[in-house]
Amino acid sequence: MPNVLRKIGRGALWFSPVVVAFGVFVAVTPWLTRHSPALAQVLTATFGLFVLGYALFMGHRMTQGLDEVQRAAGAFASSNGWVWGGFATLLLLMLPPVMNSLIDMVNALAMPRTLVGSPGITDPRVAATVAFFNRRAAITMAFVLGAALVMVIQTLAIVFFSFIWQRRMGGSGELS
Amino acid sequence: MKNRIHVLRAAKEWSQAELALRVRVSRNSINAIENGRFDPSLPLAFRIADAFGLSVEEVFDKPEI
Repeated sequence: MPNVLRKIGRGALWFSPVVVAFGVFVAVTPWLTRHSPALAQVLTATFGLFVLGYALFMGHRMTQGLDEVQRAAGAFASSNGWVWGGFATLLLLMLPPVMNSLIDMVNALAMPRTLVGSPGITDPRVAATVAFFNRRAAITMAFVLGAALVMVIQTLAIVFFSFIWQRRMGGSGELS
Repeated sequence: MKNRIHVLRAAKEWSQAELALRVRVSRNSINAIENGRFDPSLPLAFRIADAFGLSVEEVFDKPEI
């Protein structure tokens, strides 16, 4: 049991940079969108690249030191996980509650309520510029969050197919 | 592919973990190979045979073609 806990702890530790980055991203973006929409877009792109880069790094690190059976397990899980994870994401997005909550999240991040219809913006040109940048930010954010969702679902699918492989290979075998 | 790993291990009184250590793979991998659920590569088959001091043909059955 302690081994399992240690494995879970180590996994959580390795996964924590993504969670921290996502937390910082969600916390900072509404404020940044109000003050500098362009910088908010840069942050969004940086966050997307970070998640992608970190996923590649983790993938490379995890395959080091594996034997051929474990590599075959990884190949089986990732090839099935990528396809079925992407398919599952599409199905998930077809569910209205999921799609609506994602749209709400994008709107909340890209167009903070304090800005929309803000009495502080009286100049119509300034209002039009801000609205333009917010629309752009919303589209960029929708793409980034969509890509992040696909990756998360695919990761879960890969874990699921790893489990299937383990079952197929006969579990853990003898304990001695 | 059928093999005699279980019998040979028993004769040497090795656990799966011990054999795994000798051929530098995980215990789960030995379990999968031993049960015929995974066919090892030629280098790994040679390593397993070497661990028992036998030839590959003495450990693994020739698959039917």
